[in-house]
Amino acid sequence: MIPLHHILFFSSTLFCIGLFGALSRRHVVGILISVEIMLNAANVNLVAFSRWTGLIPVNAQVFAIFIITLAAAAAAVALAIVLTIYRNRKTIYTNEIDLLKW
Amino acid sequence: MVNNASTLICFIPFLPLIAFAINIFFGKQLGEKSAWVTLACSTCSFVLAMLVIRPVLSGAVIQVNFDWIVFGSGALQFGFLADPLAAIMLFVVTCIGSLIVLYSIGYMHGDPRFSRFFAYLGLFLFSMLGLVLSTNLVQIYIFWELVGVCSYFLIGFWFEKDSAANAGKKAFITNRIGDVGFFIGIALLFYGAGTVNFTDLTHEYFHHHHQAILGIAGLFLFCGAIGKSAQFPLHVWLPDAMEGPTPVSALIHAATMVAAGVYLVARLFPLYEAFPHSASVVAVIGTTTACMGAFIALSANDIKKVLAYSTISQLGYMIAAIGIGAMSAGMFHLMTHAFFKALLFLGAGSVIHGTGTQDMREMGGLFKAMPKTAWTFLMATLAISGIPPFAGFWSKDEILTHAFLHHHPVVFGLLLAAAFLTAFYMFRLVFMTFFGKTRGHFHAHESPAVMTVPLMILAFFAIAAGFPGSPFMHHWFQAFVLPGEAVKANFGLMMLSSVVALSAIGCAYYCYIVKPEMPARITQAIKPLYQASLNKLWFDEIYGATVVRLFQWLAGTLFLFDQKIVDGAVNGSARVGLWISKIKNWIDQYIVDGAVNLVGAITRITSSILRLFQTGVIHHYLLVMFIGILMILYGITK
Amino acid sequence: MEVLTAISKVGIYVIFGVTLLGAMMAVTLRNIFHAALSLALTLIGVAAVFFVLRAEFLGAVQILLYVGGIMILVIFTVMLTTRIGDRTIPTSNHQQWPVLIGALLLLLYFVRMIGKTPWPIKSELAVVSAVQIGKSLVSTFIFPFELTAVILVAILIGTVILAKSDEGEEKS
Repeated sequence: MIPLHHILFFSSTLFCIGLFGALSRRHVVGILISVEIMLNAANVNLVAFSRWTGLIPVNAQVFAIFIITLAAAAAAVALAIVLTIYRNRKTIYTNEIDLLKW
Repeated sequence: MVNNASTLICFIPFLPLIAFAINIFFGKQLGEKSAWVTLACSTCSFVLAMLVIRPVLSGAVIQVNFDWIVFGSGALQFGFLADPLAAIMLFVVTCIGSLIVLYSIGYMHGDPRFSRFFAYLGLFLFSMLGLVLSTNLVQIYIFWELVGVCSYFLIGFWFEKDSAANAGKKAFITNRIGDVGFFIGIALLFYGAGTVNFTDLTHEYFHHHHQAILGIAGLFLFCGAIGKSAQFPLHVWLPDAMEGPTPVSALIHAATMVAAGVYLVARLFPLYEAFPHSASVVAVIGTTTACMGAFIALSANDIKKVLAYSTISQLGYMIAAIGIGAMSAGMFHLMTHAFFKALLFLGAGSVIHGTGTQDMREMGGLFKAMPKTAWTFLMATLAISGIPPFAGFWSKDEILTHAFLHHHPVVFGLLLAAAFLTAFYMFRLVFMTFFGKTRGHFHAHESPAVMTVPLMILAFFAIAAGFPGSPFMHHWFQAFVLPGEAVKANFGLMMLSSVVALSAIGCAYYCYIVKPEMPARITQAIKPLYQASLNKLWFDEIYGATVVRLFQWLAGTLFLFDQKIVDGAVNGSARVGLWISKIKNWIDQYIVDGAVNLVGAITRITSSILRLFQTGVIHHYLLVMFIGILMILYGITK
Repeated sequence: MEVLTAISKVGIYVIFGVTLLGAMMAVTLRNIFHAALSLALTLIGVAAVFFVLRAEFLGAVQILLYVGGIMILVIFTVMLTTRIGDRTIPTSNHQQWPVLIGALLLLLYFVRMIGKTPWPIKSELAVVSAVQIGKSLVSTFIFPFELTAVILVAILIGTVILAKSDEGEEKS
């Protein structure tokens, strides 16, 4: 098998890619996609640790399930919000949604 | 008797005051009856005065005192004093006063302000009697001023005439100038002696106290007499005072008020005795006045002006007498002069009443038309000229004798010359008025009995008043006034003065009856002297050009001062207030408000910087979040 | 056998590479639809990684939920909110370079930390079965389980309300 740190490298890279995307995309859904990527990176991390270093391996995986569930729920709400914004503002680019501007 | 007199003495001044009050308030209703009120009050005062004089004649001195202002150690008193000097004055004032009130009933008949006149007469009698009965210098000063006020009222009684109103003003102001000196004198005397009571300032007192300040006080006190008794240089008011009704001239400016100055000097005689230098000033002024008055009277054509200058001259006699130490002679002359001068004035009033004119050049030959007036007038003229046995002879001769015997040759000579001139101008008056051709065009008639009865009573006194001081009664009068004075009659001097007087009458007879053109020739010959006499020695003009102009300038300057400086100061302070308020406004606007605005501005600027964080853009917030997480990470893993 | 082992080792790295590629495409593609599809690729790659790590159940759950559920949602939303003429608009806002640098730095940091940390690696690599997960869910993790259920209900209601169209509300 491959060493642990390789997986960790992988998940870190995935996380940073997701981070970059979250901070630099204009499309609201694009930000959402990047957030999903970050969450997935966290899941990979959990599973890796569950396999290599976890004292109770099952806990990590249950935790990962919970993350998936809640990510899905959050995504659902977020997308509903996106739809509402699109209905109101007719735009889904973050630089055009600045009602809370000073 | 003394106790009775002590109570009665208080009523003497107040009865005429009651007459004044009644006439002022009820005069209009009373009408012509107001005169009887004053007459009743003044005769009652006369009776009371007689009752008071009786014990004084036997040597008693009545004094009643009330504490008026009490300060610390001493008190200023108010009271009534009846000693021989006061007794003489009481007699003169009440007697002549009552007679003149009676006379005025006829003279002022028909005047629209009839009752007011009698009210003023009552006020005057009150003031004069209060003056005469004063116990101290402060009290006499108060009544002195009151008498001056009454004089102002009475001189300016016909104030519709500008000349009368101005004459009243002039009298009052000239008197006031003298009174300034009088007041300074009172202050100096009080400072030097510590008392102002007449009973304290006696002969013995001045024996022991001989500070120079008392002598100077004496000079200042004399200033009051200069003003009141119309001495040189404050005599200018008396001729103008003839604008008043003739009874006023008789009462005030012949018999009583002008005598107040002599009375004052007589009261202060112990002081003048102790300080010969002050006394010589008094004598010099008196003699100068006597000569000057006689000189100007020579050329006067108004009957009352002649009598006015005659009064000035005779007052000079009295003052000079006291100045050279003949106090009793001076008081004697005061008494006799009061009677015959009052008679002269009342007679002149009668003439004016009968002829309607005051200018002697329009009169003449009145003897037949007004016999009673003429005869009484002649009696008075003989008295004033110093013809024995009339009253004036005895008193004038006393003064001349004293001057001669006490080695005052200059005074003696000048007074003798003045006696010559007196006789001359008085008979000039008589000849021009009563004798000779009738120059005027009028129907002269004798005055009513109301006016002629006082004339006759006064004529009696003009004849008889001299006897108490004459050798016939062993100079009783002089001993009465100044106990212990030794008076000797000098027969030679009596002869000399009689000769002088008779020769003067002879000259007047020659000039005005025998050769009427003589006066014109004489005046041509001595033109400058005549001009000087006619123009009253230019006193009025000199005073007008100097003193009056000075005070008018002063008044104008003070007005400008008030306008520019005082008002300017007020305006300036207002401007300062405005300026201060402008500064405060600026401070309030820029500094106080500025501070408040500064706080707001700081908040605004800070918020305008901080709000830039609120862009409303999500990725900015995410970025900030990311930076925050980095910082936390950094902090945790440190 | 060595060939298979070698292939399996290489294959793991290939899966890594595909997943990362998919992720990079997901964050940089201009067309959001293409980005969504790239996200699907990434999610499948992650599922493959799960399978490789012997977490089969999790991998199956990943595919079911993420690829099957969330991807559908994302595609739906993308379809519903696309504007014509958007393809020419640049994807990124104006903070991509600082973020890039920051992300790289963060990555470097992570790498360094990973390298430094002495991981307590077990001698025997664990394999978790679905039975274990199920049992743990209803015993140890019962409370989060129930909470999650509540959350899901709430989210269900909330999403329905949010996403309901206004016309429907006015009519009713």
